[in-house]
Amino acid sequence: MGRTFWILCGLSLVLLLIGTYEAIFVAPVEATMGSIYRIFYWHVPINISAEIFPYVNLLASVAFLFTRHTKPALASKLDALALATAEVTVLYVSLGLITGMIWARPVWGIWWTWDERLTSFLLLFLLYVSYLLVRQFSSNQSAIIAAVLSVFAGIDVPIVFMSIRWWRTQHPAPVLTGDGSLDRTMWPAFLLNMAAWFFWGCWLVWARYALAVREQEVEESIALNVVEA
Amino acid sequence: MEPTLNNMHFLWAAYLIVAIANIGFVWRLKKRWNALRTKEDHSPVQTRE
Repeated sequence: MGRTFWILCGLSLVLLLIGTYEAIFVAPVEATMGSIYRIFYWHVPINISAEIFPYVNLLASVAFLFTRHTKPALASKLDALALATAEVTVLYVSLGLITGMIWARPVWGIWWTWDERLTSFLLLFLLYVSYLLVRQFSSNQSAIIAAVLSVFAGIDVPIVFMSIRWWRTQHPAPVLTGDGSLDRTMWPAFLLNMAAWFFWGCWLVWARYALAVREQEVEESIALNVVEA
Repeated sequence: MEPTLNNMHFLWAAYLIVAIANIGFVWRLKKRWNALRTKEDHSPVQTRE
C-alpha cells in the first residue's frame, strides 16, 4: 500500500476522534430531544456517504459491462471497484438503519415505521445484500448479473434522497437545507463528522479494492500455472 | 425549553455498534489479506506489482 493510503487512514481516524469529541462534548444540547439527538452527527454523515458509494458502484458496473470484451484488464479493475463499493455500501446502509432505529425508539416511541424514507432505504440495503449474494454464490456470470443489479440499486438512491421531499414522512424533513435548518453552532461538529465518515468510507473502499485486485491476480496466476502444467 | 428526553444509553449504544461494526469490517479485511498471503506462499504464483 502506498503512502497516500495510510495518510487517508490517519486523516480519517483523526477527524473521527475530533468529530466525535465535538459531537458529544461541544455541540449544544437540542431543545426538545436532549442529548439523544447527537446520534445525528454519525447517522446523517453515514447515510449521506451511503448514498454516494452506490453511484461509484453504478458507474464502475456500467463501465465494466461496456469494457469487459474490449479491455478485460480495465474491466477486472472496475469489477473490483464495484465489489468494494458494494461491501462498504452494505456496511454504511446497515449502520444508517441501525442508528436511525436507536434514535427512533426514544424519540418516536417505536423502533421502525414503514414510511417512504425508511422503506426505500431498507430496499437499498436489500438490493446490495442481493448484489453480494449474487457475487458470492452465482457461478461464472456473477459479475455481469451483479453489474445489472447495481443499475436497479442506483435507481433507488434518488428515491431515498427525495423521499422526505416528495412525501410527508414520519422521518424528519431535511435538516441541512429545509425550513428547520441546523443551528449554526451545530455545523462544525456535523461537517467534521461528514468529512470523517466520507474519508473513512473511501479508505475502506480502497482497502477492499486492493484486496479484490490481489485476489484476481492470485486466481489468474493459479489458473495460468494449471494451464502450463 | 427543557429537553423531554435524555436517553444517553441509546446514544452510547449507537456509537458503540457503529464502532464495533467498522472495527469488524477492518478485521475481516486484514484476515482475508493474511489468508491470501498464505495462499500465495503455498502456491507457485507470481503476481503483478
